[in-house]
Amino acid sequence: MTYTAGVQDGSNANALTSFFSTGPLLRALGNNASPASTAWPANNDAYAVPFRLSVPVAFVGCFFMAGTTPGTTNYDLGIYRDDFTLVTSLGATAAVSTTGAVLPVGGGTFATSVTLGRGRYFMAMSSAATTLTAAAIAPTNQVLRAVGMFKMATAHPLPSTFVPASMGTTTFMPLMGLTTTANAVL
Amino acid sequence: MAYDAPSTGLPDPMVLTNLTTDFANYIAGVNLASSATFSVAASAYFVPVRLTQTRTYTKAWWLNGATAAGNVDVGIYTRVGTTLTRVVASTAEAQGTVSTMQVAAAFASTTLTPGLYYLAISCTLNTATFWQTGGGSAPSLRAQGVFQTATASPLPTTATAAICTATRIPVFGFSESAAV
Repeated sequence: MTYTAGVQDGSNANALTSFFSTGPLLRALGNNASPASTAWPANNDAYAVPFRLSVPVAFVGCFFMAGTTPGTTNYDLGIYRDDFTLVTSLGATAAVSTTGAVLPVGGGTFATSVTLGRGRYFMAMSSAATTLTAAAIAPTNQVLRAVGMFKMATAHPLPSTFVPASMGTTTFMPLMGLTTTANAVL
Repeated sequence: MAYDAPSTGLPDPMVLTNLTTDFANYIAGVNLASSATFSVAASAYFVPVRLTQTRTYTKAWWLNGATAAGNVDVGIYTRVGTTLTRVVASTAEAQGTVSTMQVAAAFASTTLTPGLYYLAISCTLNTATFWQTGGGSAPSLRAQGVFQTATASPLPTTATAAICTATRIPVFGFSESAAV
């Protein structure tokens, strides 16, 4: 006899974004601003945004939304477990300088799709230089720390282990996401 | 033989706040958090959270508002009837830098098994400001399971749960990670 578990509260979207995973809490904490083009805070910094899954989900790729002048510096996107070990990442990827673009163009694809079980994870992004601009929000009163976001210096491309440091006074959450289907129209 | 049912739903967040998913969804539909004064001097407020797995918390914190005053402490309680029993608490300390997260200087790492707990905060002065939920009314907080206790600063070993009359609750919480 086969037993098929029912879905609890999975999203029906084909993309899981940093804003979606933290949205209700972020808004309750006072942030209702739209993302704006923001320069990467520091060379080689990486930022990790928590997300939780109630059911297994297979992710095939990732993306971020560029700001007005993304330039051509290298960035990286990836996924970490809650012990901060790397699940997968794109590897250093050159930006394409198109205002407001979703990068990589059409969405980046992981070398191998990854299926994550119920659990706690982080989506992370790094950039080699502050010349990169990304669509980002900047909540006040250090609420990104309460959301469970972390940063790491000297973390580009994304390392095999993310060493979490406090966000401190940094107010920056880029709009990035993971995709469950290859999507050339992103 | 005991049977441990598998956990379902979303796992517990690594940085636990008094804004649980239900609470945050509710609050997000009402008003945004902002700086506001502590409701009643020396009172303590207790907000329910339910853990689905065993977790160890190493840091306690709260979000200061635009002005600082008084001594603050935060803790975690269990409840049987109207009796709240302290599991752990930080040591009362003065509010520090305004408009920042203040991490408690003293908090003993504590492991909690799955179950219902109450996150508690108290402050000696009602001139202290915190980044607080925009709950809007005492009945709405009562409906979310919030209790209060008078004359409970610093947080006592036990407290008697009373009806919440506050309209806002400071944002505070606990972190599994040493970095927060």
